[in-house]
Amino acid sequence: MTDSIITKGLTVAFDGRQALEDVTVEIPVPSVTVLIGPNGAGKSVFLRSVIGLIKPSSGSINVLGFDPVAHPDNVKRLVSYVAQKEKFSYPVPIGVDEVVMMGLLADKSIPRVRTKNDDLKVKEALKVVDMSDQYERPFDKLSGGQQQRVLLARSIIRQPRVLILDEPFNAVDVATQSLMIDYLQRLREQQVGIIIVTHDTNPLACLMEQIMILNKRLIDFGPPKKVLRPEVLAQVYGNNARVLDEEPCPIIVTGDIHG
Amino acid sequence: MVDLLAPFLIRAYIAVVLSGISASAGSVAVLRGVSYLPAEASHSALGGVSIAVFLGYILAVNIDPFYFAVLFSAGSAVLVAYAGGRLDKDSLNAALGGVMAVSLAVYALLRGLVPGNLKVIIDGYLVGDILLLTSKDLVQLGITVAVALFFEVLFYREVMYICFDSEGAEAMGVNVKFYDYLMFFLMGLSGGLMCKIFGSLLVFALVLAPAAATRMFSVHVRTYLLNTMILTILLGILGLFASIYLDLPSSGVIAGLTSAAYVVSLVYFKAIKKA
Repeated sequence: MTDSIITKGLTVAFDGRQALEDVTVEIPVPSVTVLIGPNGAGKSVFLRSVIGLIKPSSGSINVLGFDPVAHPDNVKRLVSYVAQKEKFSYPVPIGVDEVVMMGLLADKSIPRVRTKNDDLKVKEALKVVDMSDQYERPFDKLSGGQQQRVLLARSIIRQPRVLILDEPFNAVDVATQSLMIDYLQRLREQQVGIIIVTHDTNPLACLMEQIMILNKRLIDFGPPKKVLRPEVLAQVYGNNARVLDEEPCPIIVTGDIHG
Repeated sequence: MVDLLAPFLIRAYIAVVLSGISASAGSVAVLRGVSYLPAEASHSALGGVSIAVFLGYILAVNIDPFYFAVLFSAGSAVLVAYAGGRLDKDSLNAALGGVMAVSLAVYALLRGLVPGNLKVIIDGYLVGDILLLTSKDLVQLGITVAVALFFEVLFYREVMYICFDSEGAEAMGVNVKFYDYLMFFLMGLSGGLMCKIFGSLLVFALVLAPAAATRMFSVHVRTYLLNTMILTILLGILGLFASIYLDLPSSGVIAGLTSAAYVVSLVYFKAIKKA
């Protein structure tokens, strides 16, 4: 089993438009990779291709030794995915415990019976994300940050080797964001690979090991100090983003800078 | 004085219970974002009934329209899932209208080609009468409900997961495509059943109204499905008694009660939300 996610010439097209074009990259596992790019750059498409939800038009994908198209079940056991919250249907009355339980029961055979041991594991996962007091609360009654933590618990209960998060900090306050980043740090220490799509790399400055910049094509990939350079960012964001060379990682600043 | 244990009433009680179990499909439709699907399916059943009656007429054979009704209702629901794509609710609702239009066109065309005595059979599925159900009807309905209930219980979690987060479920290895088609098939089947019991015109009131009413007060999928079943059965029995004592059409009274339950629930829910 290889310890990386490799795409070679990955091209994805649907609805008559090219979403990804010839993306070749090798993401080491474990590591923390932050994926950035403008809206419509194909970031979510890249993630969904990696976990086998979208079939590439051409090129290949290898996730820890498995092709997500040929061996989707192997990939789905190794990789956990937290989609953007906007994709959830909130009219469905479902409890916090049941949402996290999805992560466990999805791997069981039908009728996917819930055991006492499963309940304990769910409680443990909720404790990790500081949500154990919300065990039976309806999911739609939680705040955006609390929902994101529950979804994180659902992913980590599967004990993945790779955790993929699509814009996890949207509508999340600073305290929750900080708590989630602390938890991601602990996962990284446990040798879990993490790929995060975000529009703001700054909160992850201390955590990220690679940055991948995508704008349908791969613009750049590598350590933050190598990638976060004005001439690279200008290719994606024009002159709207500037880079402050801070330690341990450069900071991206948008808008006018005075003084 | 009507004997409340008269055979035709006992058959009606059983039909109410069967329709209550079927009404849980309305809840699934609400959760899946295709609330009108059971009603669409019941209208599509009319196309099947018309074909059965028309074929029976030209071939001079006796064809039971019920089988064509459930075949068309379940088939049309699956067609909606296929035509609309699985995840896009707007496309699904557009496909729902398109499929229903085709079935209704078949219904209108073929109904016009059969003699008056056969039109009555077709019209029985348009405005049904729960008091006219025969023992054979109940056996057919019972078997179909049992099949639907079996799959609903067996795949309860799959249904819940797909309605809540289909992409997440797929990412975890759930065969979303298969279960989604199965879900549509079962919702369509229930639409066909309700068409037989109450007539397709009243399926909105019998399937959608209780599901919409109980949704406001249910905090879990399991209790939501149960609440819909219980409310439909209670109002069905109450409606039967009321129709007997008031000498009014049973299906109409039951539909009136379920619709009233929705309105009362809505007003109450808005009031407690405001308070």
